[in-house]
Amino acid sequence: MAKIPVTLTHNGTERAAFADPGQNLLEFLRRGLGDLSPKYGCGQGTCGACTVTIDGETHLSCLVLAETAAGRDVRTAAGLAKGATLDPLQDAFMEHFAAQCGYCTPGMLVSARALLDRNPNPSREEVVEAISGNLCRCTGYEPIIQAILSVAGRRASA
Amino acid sequence: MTQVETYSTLDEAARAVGQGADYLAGGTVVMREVNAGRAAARLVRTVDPALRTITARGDTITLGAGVTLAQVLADPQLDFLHPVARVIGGPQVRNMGTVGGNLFAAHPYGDFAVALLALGARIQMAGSGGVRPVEDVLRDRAHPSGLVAGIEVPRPRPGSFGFSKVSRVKPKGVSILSIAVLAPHEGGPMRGVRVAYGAMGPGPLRSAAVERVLEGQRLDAATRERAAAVAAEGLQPPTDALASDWYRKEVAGVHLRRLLERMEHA
Amino acid sequence: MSVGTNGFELRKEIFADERDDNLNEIGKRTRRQDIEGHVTGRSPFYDDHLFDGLLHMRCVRSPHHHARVRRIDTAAAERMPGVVRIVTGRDVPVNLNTLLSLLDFGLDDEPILSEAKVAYKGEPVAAVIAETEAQARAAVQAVRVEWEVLPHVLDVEEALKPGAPSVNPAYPKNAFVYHGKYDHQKLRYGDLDRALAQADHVVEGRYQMSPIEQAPMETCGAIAAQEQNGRYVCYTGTQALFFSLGTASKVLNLPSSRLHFIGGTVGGGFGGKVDSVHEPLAILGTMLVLAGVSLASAAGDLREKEPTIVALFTAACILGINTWVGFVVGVVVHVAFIAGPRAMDDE
Repeated sequence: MAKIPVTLTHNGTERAAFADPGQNLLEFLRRGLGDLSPKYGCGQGTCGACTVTIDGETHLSCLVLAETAAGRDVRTAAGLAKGATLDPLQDAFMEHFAAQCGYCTPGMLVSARALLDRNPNPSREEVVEAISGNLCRCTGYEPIIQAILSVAGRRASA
Repeated sequence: MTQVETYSTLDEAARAVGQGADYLAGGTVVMREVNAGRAAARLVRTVDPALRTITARGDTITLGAGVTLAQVLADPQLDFLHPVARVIGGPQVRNMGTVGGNLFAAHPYGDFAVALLALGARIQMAGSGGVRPVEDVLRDRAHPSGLVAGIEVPRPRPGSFGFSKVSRVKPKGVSILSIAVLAPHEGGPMRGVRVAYGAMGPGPLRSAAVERVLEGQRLDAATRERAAAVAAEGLQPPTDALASDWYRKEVAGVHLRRLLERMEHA
Repeated sequence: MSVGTNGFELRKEIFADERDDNLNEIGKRTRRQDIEGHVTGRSPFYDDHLFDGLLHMRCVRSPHHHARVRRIDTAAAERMPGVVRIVTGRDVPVNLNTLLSLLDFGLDDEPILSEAKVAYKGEPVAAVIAETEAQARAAVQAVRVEWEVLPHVLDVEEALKPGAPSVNPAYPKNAFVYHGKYDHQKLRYGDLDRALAQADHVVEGRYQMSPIEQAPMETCGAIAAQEQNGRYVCYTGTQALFFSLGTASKVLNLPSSRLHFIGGTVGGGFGGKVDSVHEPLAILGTMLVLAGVSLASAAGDLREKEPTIVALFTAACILGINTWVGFVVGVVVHVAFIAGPRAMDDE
């Protein structure tokens, strides 16, 4: 089984690893690059736990062929913090109890970050739509929505 | 193991697919099969930039088969398709899923194809495949004759096109059924009515019964009632985990009536 | 000792040396102790452990609600790319279990991998171990099972009628057996008949719940690997680490001192990860894959070459299975709980 070399930018750093033919980007990130932050929830594109951004747009990494991400800018939840400094969304999630079991959280944060990067002051409806591709079974979504709105509000007043 | 072949142009990909491989577009359908170990041994894809273009000429807008639903939402000249694209998948699926791929998405998916069917879209095939009515491509989709290059969508007159997606979960939820209605009226009786359903049969299909009721009539309360009464006539909706055939038949008329009422008052 | 209001005694001398009486938590915002790991993506769920040479295990499951297993043909699946071993019920040292037996309650009634009969759609009868998950899934589809489909019953009240198909040989009347012989238990407080006779209104109703599916975001699963000194390590998402360790010990006939269970990070459970059997399956997979190699290395002249092969196979077996549903828990007006085809019916 001939492996495919894949070079891409991962959270700002150029990385490379070998992908199996047909391997999805989620497995490539987790086992190829050792980034365990995106999670496997369904493998079918329905839960969003595997959400990453590719060139700034959210994608379901379990449905992306790893080799198609070659040369692109891939970002995951692990890349949100800058060293010891957490992203304001990460702080907000902690403040607002926006995580319980934590399994949906990396995907949620990536979707939230992508929203605020393109729309710094979203309405509640826009927040709901932005996370509509990320399922959560624990929080009932409201704490997550509040956490995201609190960061949006902060930015609006800054 | 699934081998993936990438070609620079669609025509090259079309020739490669002819020899027994599956075609990979946005991945939202085919990658599920790859992950499940059920995909074909060969996958063919292309990086042809022509597939991502949107061009308007006169009253026809041509979408490259690789145009994503997010691209549709971002283009103001496709405003009549925004209510359709907006309710397909979540944001991630819309960044990945293509208008071409949606034509081949099996039940319960394929809501964009339902809209295209009502709009009377024409499908440009790759190579020398010519241009075919969308219903032909939908009818033959179990054994496609080639790859889709583009989709010609006639721009509907303002206020003549409506779409409704019925799902339990909103904003992102799979269809129990979807309805698309094209009812040009120019202020008078409706002419050239096309009504399409999703999830009311094996794939997107038109409702001859509802079209007969609406054709030549004005869109008023009496017409809506008559249309609702025949909403499921001649149809054998599926029974699946989402809804039974009985349920779909029961509610089709209700949702059709609501859609027509919205269109009347728009 | 201090006396509070309403006649409550506060026995503050007990554990006085271990307790902080100056706690002031009510009304204060407190952070979950695990939430920083969740928002940084560092919380170590069972699958967040990297192993070189990790193998993947997927189950072959019954498409029928109730059927006899006539034959399991794994020949085609064994030849498929990446397939290392196929596990069946014969490989399981103690192939009948219930979590309840750890509590000295109930009868063993659930095979780990069913051999004779299946009693629910989705019941596993074999497990494929392969090099990638996709290869394991593809090989699962190539396993040919000959089923003799039997009548089934999906309604609680239908199941209790005389003549209903008997689904579970340990409980042949489709009802739980209390204390070895009773098919129901009554809890009575006070004089029910007198209370009803004296009541102004007697309300009778029939209430029914929908089936429950816990559906946590993290599916059930475990990773097992060989550790040193004859131990196996098992990373698992179970909600009940000691239950899972006890079950693995019993099913695999291994003393618990040879099992090292690591868990505590659960991606949602809601009860669905209390009685899991993924751990014994994953550990069994590890044992069987290693056994293949150690048999070969028993031949003295191969010993020199074995270490590299052993290193490759001293790998882990990962078992990932989607959470399997618990069946209807019916509450009949006269308060009898009825659960699925097995006494403990969520896996």
